[in-house]
Amino acid sequence: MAVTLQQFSIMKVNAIVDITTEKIIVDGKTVISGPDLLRSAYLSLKMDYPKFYKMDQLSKLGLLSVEYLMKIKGVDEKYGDDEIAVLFNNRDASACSDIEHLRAISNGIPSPSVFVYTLPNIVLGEIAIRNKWFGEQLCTVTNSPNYALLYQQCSALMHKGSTKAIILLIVNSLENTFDACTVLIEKDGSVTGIPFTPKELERIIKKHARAKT
Amino acid sequence: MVIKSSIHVGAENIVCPLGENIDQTFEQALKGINSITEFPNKVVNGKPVLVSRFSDERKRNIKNLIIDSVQGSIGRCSYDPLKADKTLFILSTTKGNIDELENSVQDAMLGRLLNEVVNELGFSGNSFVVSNACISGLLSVITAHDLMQNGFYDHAVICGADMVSDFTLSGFGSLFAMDDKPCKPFDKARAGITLGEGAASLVLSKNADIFDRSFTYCGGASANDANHISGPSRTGEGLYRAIKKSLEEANIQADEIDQIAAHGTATMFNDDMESIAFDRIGCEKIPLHSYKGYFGHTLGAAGLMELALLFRSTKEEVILPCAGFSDPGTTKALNVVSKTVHKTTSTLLKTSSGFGGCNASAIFHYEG
Amino acid sequence: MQELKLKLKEKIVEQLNLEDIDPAQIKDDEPLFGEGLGLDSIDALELIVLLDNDYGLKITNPEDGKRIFHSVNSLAAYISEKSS
Repeated sequence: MAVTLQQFSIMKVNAIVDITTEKIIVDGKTVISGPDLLRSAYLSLKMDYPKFYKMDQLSKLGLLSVEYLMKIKGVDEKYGDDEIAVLFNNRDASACSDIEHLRAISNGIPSPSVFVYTLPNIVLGEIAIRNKWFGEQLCTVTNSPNYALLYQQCSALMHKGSTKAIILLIVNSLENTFDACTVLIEKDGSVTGIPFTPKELERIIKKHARAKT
Repeated sequence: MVIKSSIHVGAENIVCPLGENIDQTFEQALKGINSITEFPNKVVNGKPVLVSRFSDERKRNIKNLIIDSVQGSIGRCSYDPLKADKTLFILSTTKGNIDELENSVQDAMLGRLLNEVVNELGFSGNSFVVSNACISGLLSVITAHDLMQNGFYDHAVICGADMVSDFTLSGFGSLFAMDDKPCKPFDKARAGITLGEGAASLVLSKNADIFDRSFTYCGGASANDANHISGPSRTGEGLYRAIKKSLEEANIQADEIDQIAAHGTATMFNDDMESIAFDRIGCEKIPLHSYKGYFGHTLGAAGLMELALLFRSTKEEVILPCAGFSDPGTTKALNVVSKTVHKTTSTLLKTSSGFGGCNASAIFHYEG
Repeated sequence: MQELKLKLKEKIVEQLNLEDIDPAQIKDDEPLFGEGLGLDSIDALELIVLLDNDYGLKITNPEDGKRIFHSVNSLAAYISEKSS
């Protein structure tokens, strides 16, 4: 894979949000912890967004991750409404809602509000609606994160059209467990900041995995 | 003048109830035949269910359909792209092997299906699943192009597949989204979708010589409506922006498009939304169709299946009509093709839209 | 009938995940769609599920839903009519 040093330095990791079942960490600092974590986070962020309660767990995780990026890092003000691309990757797709839908079918009465969440890209829709973003999106599924591939996908997106920043979400949600690792990558040719590379992404995700335990 | 990237697209193939390969599928469509039938002994919301579904249960294995389609595509190449250096494989699917969820979450994992596929194909390069609702197929092509354009790959093999399942039938039933007659895209009397199943594949390459005849990718983009997760935008904002970006990348005006293969699911809202977007961008006079009246809405396979049929019909110098359409009935008027037209076209627009407010658009140029 | 209406308000809040809403605050004649509760097309379909699940009443044409779900009053009237 021929990638120039210039390509490496053009993308920087400027924020990381980790969510585990116990706590939410922004740039290494725990911002909230405790029971009923996602609901508490929603209330503490003063989102005033009742749609939150209709979402499935996967969408709540994605939405909250991006909300922390917006509120704490003030990212939104820097970019136009189509300049932030959102990239999603996970292992279980929408399994959490799939299981619920299956349950409803076996009871003879499928629920439309459950069915609409049986696609992993819906979280991207929720993020776009909340933030009024009209940019590029991509939802992929792999058994485990492929750091080189994710880097390539981000790199390709960053060189496309109006994209100036990327939010990369890796979110897994099953009935009794969940976790989310969200990375903000910005176009930045300066010498400061952490360059976004496959190795750096691996480091971030492995650190996230340790935070889960 | 259209700007063409260095990425060529071809070797299209389809395996579906309408045809065992692209040749059969095209021939049937040209005769005005569709594969939509009544699902025996099935009732949803008190009405019969119409689908495009294999009648032979032995054909109803998603992994085998994928392998079959991909092998058909590779057979149309002058060398096997899966054995070349720097090749990417993408699987496009919304629910994969969803029936397996009754056994376990692991059995239904999309990554597991991908592994089974690449193992059987003997492919060890990079691969991933695109699962982005109904734009998955077209988005896979756009993503593959962009990765290749950035120097990461020289070839990409893409396959999309989805099956008609109780999971999706029940779900769309709860949304009252299915017509109890064969779907009628863009028609005044349209009343919902017809679900379909199958697989479709194609190959992207920096080397045009791998193909007998091919298309060049000229531009493509995705954009979200930022409006509602299942209802399309009333202004067609996402689709409008995606098409606009595609046109900009291809360096052409809207009126230089010769033919549009739209999404056209035949729901009231979707087709209205598309008419508004096409009107806004200035494509309202361009010959336009949806192919879902031939083989149904195949979800993760849709974009690829429809692109394959678009490519094949363009090679045959034919514009296929919009099956199921007879009377116009969208918010904005469109030039919906109602009869087969024998005409050469070269600049093609394909669009897809999907749940989650996602939209994708791509422009191709026929090279002969 | 009053008991049915109160029960309906509680069920609506629960079925549609309207966590911040107090059922007692929903007026009997208040339009459920449009302003107020801010319900959307998916909510309308969920109310069809509620009728089936909790009252065994099946609606096969969502267009009928517009009339039946107009307000708590119309919903209660429909259920009462069908049970007698």
